Amino acid sequence: MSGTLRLTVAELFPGHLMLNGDMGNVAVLAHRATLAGAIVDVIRIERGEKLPDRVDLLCIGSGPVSAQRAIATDLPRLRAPLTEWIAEGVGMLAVNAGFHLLGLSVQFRDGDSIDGVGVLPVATIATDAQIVTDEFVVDSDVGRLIGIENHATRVELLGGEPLGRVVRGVGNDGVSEGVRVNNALGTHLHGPVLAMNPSLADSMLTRAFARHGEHYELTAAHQKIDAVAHSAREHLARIARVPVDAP
Amino acid sequence: MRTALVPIVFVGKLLRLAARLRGGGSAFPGWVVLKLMPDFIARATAQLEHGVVVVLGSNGKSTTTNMVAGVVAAHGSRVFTNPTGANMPQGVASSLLSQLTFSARLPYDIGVVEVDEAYGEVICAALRPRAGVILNVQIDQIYRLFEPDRVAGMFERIATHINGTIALNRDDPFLAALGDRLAQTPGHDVRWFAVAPEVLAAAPHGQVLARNYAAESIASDPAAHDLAAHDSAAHDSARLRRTTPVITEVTSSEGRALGYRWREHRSTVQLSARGLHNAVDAVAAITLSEAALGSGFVIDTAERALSSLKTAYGRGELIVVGDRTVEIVLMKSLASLQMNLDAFESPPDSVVMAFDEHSRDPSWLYAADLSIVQHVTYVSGPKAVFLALRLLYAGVTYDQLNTDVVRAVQHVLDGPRPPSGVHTLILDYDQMIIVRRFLGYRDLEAGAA
Repeated sequence: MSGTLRLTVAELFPGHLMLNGDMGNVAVLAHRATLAGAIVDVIRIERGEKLPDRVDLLCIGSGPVSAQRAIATDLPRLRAPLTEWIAEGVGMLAVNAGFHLLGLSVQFRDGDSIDGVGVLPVATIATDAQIVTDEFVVDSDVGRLIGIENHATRVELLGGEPLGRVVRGVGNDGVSEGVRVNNALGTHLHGPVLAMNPSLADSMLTRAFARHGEHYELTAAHQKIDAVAHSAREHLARIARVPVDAP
Repeated sequence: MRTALVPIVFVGKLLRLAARLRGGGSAFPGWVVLKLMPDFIARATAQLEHGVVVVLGSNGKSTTTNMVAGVVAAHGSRVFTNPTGANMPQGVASSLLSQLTFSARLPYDIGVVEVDEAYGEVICAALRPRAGVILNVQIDQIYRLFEPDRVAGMFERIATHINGTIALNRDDPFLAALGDRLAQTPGHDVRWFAVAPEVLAAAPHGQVLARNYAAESIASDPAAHDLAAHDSAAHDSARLRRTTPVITEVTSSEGRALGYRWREHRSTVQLSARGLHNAVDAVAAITLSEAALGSGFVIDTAERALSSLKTAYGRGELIVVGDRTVEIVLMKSLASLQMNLDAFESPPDSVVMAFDEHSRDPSWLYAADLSIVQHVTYVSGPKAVFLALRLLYAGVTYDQLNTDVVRAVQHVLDGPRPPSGVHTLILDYDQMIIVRRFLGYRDLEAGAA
């Protein structure tokens, strides 16, 4: 790396959207960027708090319906800045409720619905049954993604590209999973999806470095972590009876 | 009533014997008996002269049940209780089978029963408890329970089956709201326990309670607040909570020492395990025990019982092996792990962490603050790699990975004695059972030598 790169990784609504280890994704991005030589600032943006002028990476996690309702009135103000950031190529990772809330609308089980931020082209409707897949497998542009899904929603894609194709589990609708608009990703792969799928983390980091004219390069320390991540992926792939990498 | 039970108990006991000869499956006889006689639990427990009290909550059920059973027994009652983990219908039925005589007599005065939240309604409908405690609502087992609001709903429905006193944690935003509603319903006597505000403020992660976002929006949104003010029930409820006194309060928690206030009485007691979570369980146990015993309750007797109890199975348990002490710390969920870590007075200097295949969805490990654990000797268990990956991102180093927890524990015991003399084993439930069995065997060996 030529100079000293300073990156800002932001977490949106961490006090509300933190149901199950989604904060791990921020830790993964920050740690891998640091190993690659960047100085990383992690900031938390809670309900009603001002957005910074710029960020390099943004993560949004999942939360219960009550938390989604509690932040509903704070969503419209995000539309303009997030639209701009996505157009600029800021990397975003939105998981479960965070994913749905960046979409156009979310309809809850009681029939009530709220408007989302409207920057991802999806509409979400609650399902009666909870969808839990302990070994959720999705094939994407950056290879096979392996993790866990736990939600009670059906997501309709109204544009954009899905993040991938479901190999095992349900995802959006049993066939497609998640959405991708430029470098903004929405997914049901919950918890520390980036820890389990370093290729996805690295694709986000490569673009974030490139926007500063820097090259993101893996080190021996990355490789040591990734050997462990590979074993964890193999563990779930073995139970799912699928190969750990896409054919 | 009892005669109808006799053949069922006979069949159940035979099944228990068969299951034990095969080495395991302790809930199976209970399952069969409930198939044969769906109201078995109600019939068997109807014999208890002083009825049943129940213990519920996301975490701390086994410890609190153990404490209440100990306190009530110290007052001279014969206490029926279910062993740790046997808190679903088939488990409760199996533990009843083990204690019923062949003539279907249940030779106890009172039941103290731990109840799983997801089965709470059906179990409490059968037990008809006359008192109960709900300890906390935490983010727990989301692969099964999905979200804390849903668990709070379960507790709300369970509470309608408890006819009498219900002891609730006033620091818990879901239970505070539930208690306010119950206090206005005839037939419910709500009694609060709590942690003194300054003690709570000093705890690194409080009680790791789930947030009640719906209640927060009513409190913070001025428009909603006005609406609530017009709604006399909601208004009364806010006023009620402020004026209903806390019966039992944690006034200090340092290591194993609990300072507490019960009504006007203030005292200190040494508990069997350290940490604020054990302190909260103890004040919950005092509150429920008083409800169970009524005017017969004597605080000094309760205090003596609490200070002489053994830890609940595998919860902060200390086992001496030669010149070492082995401490077992349970990591069942984010809350149980975090509260246990927060109770450490200094970083542990010899650590084995193990995760079993039965622990589904280890995502919550990423929500835990592991900073007190600076170094781990062994990561272990069938899911050791998931622990290892988390530790690497937390900046916690580890020496070795071995999926066989018995070998890992054997190696640390054969290795050098740590300066503290304590090996800390941080284990999930299934790995705890394996390690405990292994250490029990060693104890026998040492005794024989």
